[in-house]
Amino acid sequence: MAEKKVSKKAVTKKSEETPVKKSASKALSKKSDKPAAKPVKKAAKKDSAKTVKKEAENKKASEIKAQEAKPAEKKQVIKETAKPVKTVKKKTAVKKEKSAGISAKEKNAVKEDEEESGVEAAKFYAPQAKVNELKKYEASIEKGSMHEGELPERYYDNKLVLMARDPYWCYAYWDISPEVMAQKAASVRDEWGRHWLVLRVYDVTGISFDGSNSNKYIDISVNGDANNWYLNVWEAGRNYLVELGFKTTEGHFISIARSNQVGTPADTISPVIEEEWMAVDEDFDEIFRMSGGGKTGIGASERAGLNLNETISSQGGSEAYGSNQGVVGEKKRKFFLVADTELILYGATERDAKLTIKGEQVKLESDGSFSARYHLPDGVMKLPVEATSADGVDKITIMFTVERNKK
Amino acid sequence: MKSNPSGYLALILHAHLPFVRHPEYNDPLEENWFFEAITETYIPLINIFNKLIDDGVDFRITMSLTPPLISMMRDEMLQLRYLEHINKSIELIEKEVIRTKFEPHFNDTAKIYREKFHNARFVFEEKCGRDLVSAFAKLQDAGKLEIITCGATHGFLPLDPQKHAANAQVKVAVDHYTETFGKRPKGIWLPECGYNPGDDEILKNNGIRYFMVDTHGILHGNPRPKYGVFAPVYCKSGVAAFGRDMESSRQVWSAKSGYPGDFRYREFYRDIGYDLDYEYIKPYIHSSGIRMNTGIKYFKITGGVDLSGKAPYNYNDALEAAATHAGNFMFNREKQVEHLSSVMRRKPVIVAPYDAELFGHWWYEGPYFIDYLLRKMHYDQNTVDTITPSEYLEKYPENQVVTPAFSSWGAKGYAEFWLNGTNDWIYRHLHKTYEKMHELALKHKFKPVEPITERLLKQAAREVLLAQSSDWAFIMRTQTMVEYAVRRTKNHIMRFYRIYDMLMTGNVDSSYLLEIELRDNIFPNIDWTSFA
Repeated sequence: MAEKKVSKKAVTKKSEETPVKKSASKALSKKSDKPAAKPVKKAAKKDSAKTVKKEAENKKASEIKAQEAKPAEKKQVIKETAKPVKTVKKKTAVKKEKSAGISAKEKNAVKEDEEESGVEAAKFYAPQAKVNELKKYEASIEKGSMHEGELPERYYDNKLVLMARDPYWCYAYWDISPEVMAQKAASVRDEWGRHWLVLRVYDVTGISFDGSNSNKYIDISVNGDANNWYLNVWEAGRNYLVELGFKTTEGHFISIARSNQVGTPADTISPVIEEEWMAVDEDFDEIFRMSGGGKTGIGASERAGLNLNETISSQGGSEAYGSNQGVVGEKKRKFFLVADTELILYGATERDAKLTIKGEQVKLESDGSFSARYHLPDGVMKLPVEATSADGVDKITIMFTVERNKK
Repeated sequence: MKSNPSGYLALILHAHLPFVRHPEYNDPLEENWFFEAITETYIPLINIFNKLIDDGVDFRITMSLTPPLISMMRDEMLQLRYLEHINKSIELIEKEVIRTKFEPHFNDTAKIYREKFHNARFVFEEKCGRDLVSAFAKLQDAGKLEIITCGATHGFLPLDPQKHAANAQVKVAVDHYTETFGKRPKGIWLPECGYNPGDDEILKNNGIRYFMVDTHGILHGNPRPKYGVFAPVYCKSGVAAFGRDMESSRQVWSAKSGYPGDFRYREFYRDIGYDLDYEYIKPYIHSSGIRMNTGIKYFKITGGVDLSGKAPYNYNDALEAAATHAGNFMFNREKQVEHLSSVMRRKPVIVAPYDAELFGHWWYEGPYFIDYLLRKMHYDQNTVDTITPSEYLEKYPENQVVTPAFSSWGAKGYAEFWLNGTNDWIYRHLHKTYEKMHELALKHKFKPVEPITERLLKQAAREVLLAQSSDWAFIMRTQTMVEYAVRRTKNHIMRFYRIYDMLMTGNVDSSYLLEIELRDNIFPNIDWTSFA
């Protein structure tokens, strides 16, 4: 199946977006006194990841395998740091090691990932057609008026959004209005003269960021016309936040926008070996229902405890839809009533007894008490409560019948 | 179930296709993804599972049937179009059986196809009453198959920083599952296995007990997982995470070193849609005249040759290969379990998840591999038993508390496949739709809404979810049907904006709304407050 059609050609950007800057690594190495992602370390760390499996097999947690450097992987990481996008598909040949053992397997993992995507892509295969033939197809489909027009070019929402992509890369995009840019630039210019646009990447792991208390930060210069950037972050398993701003020759920083916070994944086995165990038993379902879950299949209006037919009239009957025209806020008077009922069933029995409500087992509190909460719709509801002693000899049943009528 | 096995194998098949349904076209190419999967994957699997039950073979298997797939299987228009499709295939194969009369090496294969196509139509039309979902539901009721859910439209959850859409992906999926099967799902296949710490809280709020993550999601979890991927862990929320076993994955997934690369298996890309005389094949390819797959393929992988050098396919040889591979797979699991159980204080579970469409569509003999595997495991050994994740949790309700690491099963293990130079432009728009939909849901949630507003809100929610399908970004990256994926992304976003404007201004274009409701008719009962 060597011919499987996964295109390997380099991908060119095709969208109406402004040009994307693929890599920030050059800026990174210059501006930062912090080391960029350390390829050697990463390769070595990866090795230690395998020990988990080993551990499960050997049960010798302490025995961590000697960390040998793996040249093939190293090269790949270095390349990626330098030119991430181009190397996406240009895999340095990871040699297949036939020697059994988990490390050889993981080495191949990246390559196989790519194969998997190829296999998965077969689901969405395209006809093996030439471009002009495909055009014929597209033309035949055109008449169905599939087109809804083009996306807005800008939103001018002055937002900066950060996304974590993998242990060493984040992606940021922003959309700052010209007014805000001009205003910020003006305030900088008045005071300090020369300035340029930077993304300040903060490590905010374990802290509540107030604008100045980050663990550390680096500045990455970005082009004035860029609206998104891939950020090579220096350490895996950390929390990051970025600010877009102007930096001046004197080192002042004027913030334009601040992003959300993201966490990058650790790319190695956790050093924490404390074990905590938890038991989740079948009562999970009951707990879930008691906390109000599981009322599925109901419409949104019902959710609010409403019956559409009943409530619409309370808004003044004759109002046709469209009466909301032009009302964006909610200033208009809209008298309404929302009401619904719930039922709480509670009691106590012997601590070690088995208790069921409606045939479903309910978990007792440590003192033998219990309580369950139910949605109570219109109609008759029967709720048999049955307690059985631990030895199974004694059994008591109480039957509740509840009826709700709404008028 | 075996009385005392040393460990367990949890086979998981992830069945998914994006929601592709175009009433506005006569012959959309992309609907064929679904039709081919029916003939080559879904129906063979249904047949095999039923036959196993008839033969008294005990087995457990887990399948995620994604909401879009269920919706397509239940859609009347697509059911009719599938019938047209299979009828055409039957017409073609009847001609083929005659055409190849004097070429026995092709004729034998043609007859196999003839039998399979007729069977597919029979199973679809007669046995299932066109409703494949009910066939899977019956298997679930028989206690052999556990059906789990997935994201509502297969949205990749880690790339939604605000989680409004992630929440809706899970909530809408669980509602849809409950509507379909009459009970809540116990487990979920997170789209692309994409997990970010905290996503489990969303699952917990929706009553889901377990999900799957890729190997490194568990291995790099915190604290260190004592049993690696061979036992589930609990997130702090109490939702269990099962980690994928690499060894069993690779044997099946890898196109080169794995089983599907065996030279005896059928070659996917040599299809008579491309090979045969144009005038002859024209009625059976796309109506615009471009050649495309017909599903009839006469060659085997052969090995070391290009497409033109392939040798004729031999069905029996291929089945023999599948049987051998099933035996090998079982042997390896036995060895793995023997080794693990000797060093673990409990019975290990080996979690082996695959794309369901790998079996049959890509690896044509894949369903028979599963068939042979389950039979052999039942009759030939007592070391490993098949199990579903929820059964394993019943046996071992106590597990270590570990927060899995952000991960996915995509190339390189994280989000890169869905966030790179080919598709990163979509996120600023997608996120904007989540934000606006969230606003809409909050604004209307606590007040009664008029029927037209309800319709608009529902459609808005559908469009946001449809735009979010990870498939579009995936296709942009694999460079297959890029135009289509771009168009789908843009269309759903633009439809959302139009409806959003209608809601904000009150100027409702009801004919437009109706048109879009008819096209994007997924989730008729969608709860738009899921975005609040």
